[in-house]
Amino acid sequence: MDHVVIAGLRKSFDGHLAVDGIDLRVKAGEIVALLGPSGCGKTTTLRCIAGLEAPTSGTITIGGRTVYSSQQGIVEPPERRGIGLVFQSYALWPHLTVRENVAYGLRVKRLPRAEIDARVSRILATVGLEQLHARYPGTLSGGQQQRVALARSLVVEAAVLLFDEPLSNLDLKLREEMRHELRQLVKRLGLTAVFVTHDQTEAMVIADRIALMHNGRILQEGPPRAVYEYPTTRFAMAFLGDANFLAAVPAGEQEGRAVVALANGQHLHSASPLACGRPGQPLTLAIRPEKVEIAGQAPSGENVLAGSVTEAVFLGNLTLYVVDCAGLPLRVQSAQTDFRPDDRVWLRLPPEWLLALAEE
Amino acid sequence: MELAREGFAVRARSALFDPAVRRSHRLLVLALMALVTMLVLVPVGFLFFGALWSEAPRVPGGHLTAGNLATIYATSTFVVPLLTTLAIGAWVGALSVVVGTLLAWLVTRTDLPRAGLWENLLVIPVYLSPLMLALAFTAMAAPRVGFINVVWQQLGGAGSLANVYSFAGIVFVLTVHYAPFAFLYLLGPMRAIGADVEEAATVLGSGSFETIRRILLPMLAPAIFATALMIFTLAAENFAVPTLLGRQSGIRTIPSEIYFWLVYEPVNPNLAASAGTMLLVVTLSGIFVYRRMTRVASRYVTVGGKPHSTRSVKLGWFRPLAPWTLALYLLATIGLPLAALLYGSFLRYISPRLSWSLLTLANYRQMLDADSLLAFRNSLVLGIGAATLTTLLGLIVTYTVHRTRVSGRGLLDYISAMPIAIPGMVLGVGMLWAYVNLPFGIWGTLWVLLIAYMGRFLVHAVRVTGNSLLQISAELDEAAQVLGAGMVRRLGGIIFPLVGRGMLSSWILLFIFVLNEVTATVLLYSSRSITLSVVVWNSLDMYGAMVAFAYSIIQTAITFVLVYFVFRLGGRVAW
Ligand SMILES: Nc1ncnc2c1ncn2[C@@H]1O[C@H](COP(=O)(O)OP(=O)(O)O)[C@@H](O)[C@H]1O
Ligand SMILES: [Mg+2]
Repeated sequence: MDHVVIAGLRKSFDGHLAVDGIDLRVKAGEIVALLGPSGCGKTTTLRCIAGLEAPTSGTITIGGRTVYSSQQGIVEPPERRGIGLVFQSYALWPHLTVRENVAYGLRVKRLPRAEIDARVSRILATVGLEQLHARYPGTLSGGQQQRVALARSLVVEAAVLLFDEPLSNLDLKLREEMRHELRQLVKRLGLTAVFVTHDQTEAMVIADRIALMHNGRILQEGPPRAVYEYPTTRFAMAFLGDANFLAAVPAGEQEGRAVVALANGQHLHSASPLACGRPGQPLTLAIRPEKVEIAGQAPSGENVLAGSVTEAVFLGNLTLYVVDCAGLPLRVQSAQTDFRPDDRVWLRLPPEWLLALAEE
Repeated sequence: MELAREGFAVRARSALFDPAVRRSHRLLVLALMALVTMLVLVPVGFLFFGALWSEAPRVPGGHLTAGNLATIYATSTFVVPLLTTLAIGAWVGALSVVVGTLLAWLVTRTDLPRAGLWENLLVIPVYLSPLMLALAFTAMAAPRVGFINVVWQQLGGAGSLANVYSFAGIVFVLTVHYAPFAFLYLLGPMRAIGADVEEAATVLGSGSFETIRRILLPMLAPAIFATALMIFTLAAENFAVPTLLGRQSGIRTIPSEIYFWLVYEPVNPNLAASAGTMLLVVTLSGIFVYRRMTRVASRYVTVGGKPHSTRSVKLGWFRPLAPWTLALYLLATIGLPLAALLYGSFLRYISPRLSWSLLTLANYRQMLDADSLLAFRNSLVLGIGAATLTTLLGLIVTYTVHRTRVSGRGLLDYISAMPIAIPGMVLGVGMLWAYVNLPFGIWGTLWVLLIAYMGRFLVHAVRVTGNSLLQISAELDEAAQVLGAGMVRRLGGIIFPLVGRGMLSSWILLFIFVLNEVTATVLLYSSRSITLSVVVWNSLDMYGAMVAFAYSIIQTAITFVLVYFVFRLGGRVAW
């Protein structure tokens, strides 16, 4: 069942479209990451879902209930949407203790005292804060504050949790730990979550599905691996990882696969259907550095380019090579460590990983 | 299970179409708008009614007429008061920005020792009431009997050295009061200009004075001009100082004419209202140009630069002398006058001799009579009541304006800021016309004064609480909202505690303002609702200056205690 459904969501600030027609479905129990560069409209989208921002048009449905519809004139205020929201700034109340912060949502619901105490204690234990319950937020570290914010949103057991870059204020080490912890926690509690981030690794670790945003739109959507391995646009390719881009033109078909010609005259095969293109129209091809195979002897098969190593950077588990193939520089990541600058090498670009991309 | 879900959906839907939620917000804005309109716009409306009506209030009959307005606008009778009012405004505005600019420059851009302390000290006169300052300077420089003149005569001088009962005296006293306003206004723009300005100029070989004249002043010109305009309107509408000091020498201003038409027989409330419209025109034009100027000014003062390193000008040989100069300035403008006031308050009658044996507590004993005690009590009740209600209203208005999306909030902001352009005298006359005919005996009670104070000072409450509200992130409020807390609950549990300091500052500030309000009060009080500031004002006529001095000292003492708390809270007057 789709738990959150967003359709045709638009939001403009003084004529500038921050969110430009977003459609998104989040299944019950699923974690979807809204991933995109800063300023692409992630926060605005999230605030529209929460009801903190009034959209310009569209509909938003949460748990089968329409909370916003421009056509029907429905605007539910945030306090009636039954969602949890973890702010990037945490937004902890400085005049309340950790316990009071966490208990606030339950107090608002007028639950019995004993139940409030029990639930608050349980959630504080879950996030590992039972020792600190009487402290004020100002006296806590960033990571601890983050947990309080999390506990405050979790304790009310809202069916949908919204996260706005909750880890971006933590240092790298802690951030990596918290990614796993957060995912496990949300999964354990069976919650539905929309997780906003600009960090592609974070999105891949935490989310079941990634929605990649750019300029207020969703460019591509799918499981992390699919989005990473089969981006459909140049932007997605570059944003999700390292990439080699090659300019080419279509040059027919062979055995059901496209043949393209590079600027240096070399012909390559690509499994990508887009690569057929229209004759004469320039194409953008791309391949991730780790998909390129490197060898000291000419391998057999198609898509082989000869070149010489111009740079070798040792990265620990891998080595990054820059190889010049008849004027075409290509980046290669490989577990092989033994090539040196000026070595003659052969690269194979497997057709199934040579992707043809839409410019936008 | 399915049924339960269905039920949930139905309930949710009905909650959705139950418009109570949204309507409650709309109702809130409507209620606020109605309240603010009643406080601010109703008096102005009645002012125009009074100006256009042929009879005084409570006189039966009457019809609309343009006669009163014609008397004010179309005959020569009112030319002199108008010109005098404008001249006072212009002089005070100009002199205040000269002094204020100089002081602000010293504090923000030079290596003046203990600049922070001076910044606080120099602001003090802002909190003293103009009436009290006028009395203090009377004690100091009244012809023949003022402190200066007594000393002058004892030294063998002839006649009077200084005469505060003059146009120059009025301008001087008002400048003492308003120069610190200019200082406060200009601190921000002065600080906003980076130190690189002076550094660059110095590198090019230009001296400090050259830098000020050629670079700093031109950059600040819009801000300085806007400040002068603001002070022009404040000084032009001032009632207490020109009326008190100008009476003897026949200096007439619009506010003093309004006062005399309303208080001295034969009264003429219609002419008073008509003159009120003229005063309103003066202040509205001042504020209108001011708004335009500040828009230009903000374009200039956003000049970036390093904010913390602006105090780069070396005073050199003047550095050790600068604090003494400032101390002398404070001594001359408030120290000595206050001392003279204090000394005078212990005298039974004005004497050209200086002697300990003349001192008496008689004037203070006067305060123990029933009327004075009533005035004390009323001032206290009004101070607490008006400060509390206005602060709460101010915060709710500011919250609605800045933190909700209810439509109409822009208008609410606009109306609540209007009293800046409405002189106290105009508010007083308008209130008189609006309330004198009301049933239930409201007229002459403390309620009328309470309403007048709320209207007059709401804008300050909105600004002071607004400043502290804007310092706390909107997300703190939104976090509570998402958790299901309604507006009342958020205001009580989150907003009030977080802006507590701002509310307290606003409260004390309003208490000071209410305690010292005399302009609207003298038009609206009755024997039952008499206040301390009215007693000070009236005691001049009733008991003579010495008793007025004593009352004024008490009022000033209370003010100083409160000012101390404002400083402790780090608060400031705000516009
Ligand atoms: N309250 C606002 N007023 C005007 N513009 C805004 C406001 N909030 C966001 N924007 C603009 O909308 C765009 C998207 O912002 P945001 O949703 O915060 O991006 P992200 O969270 O992806 O970094 C940006 O260009 C931003 O400047
Ligand atoms: Mg953001």
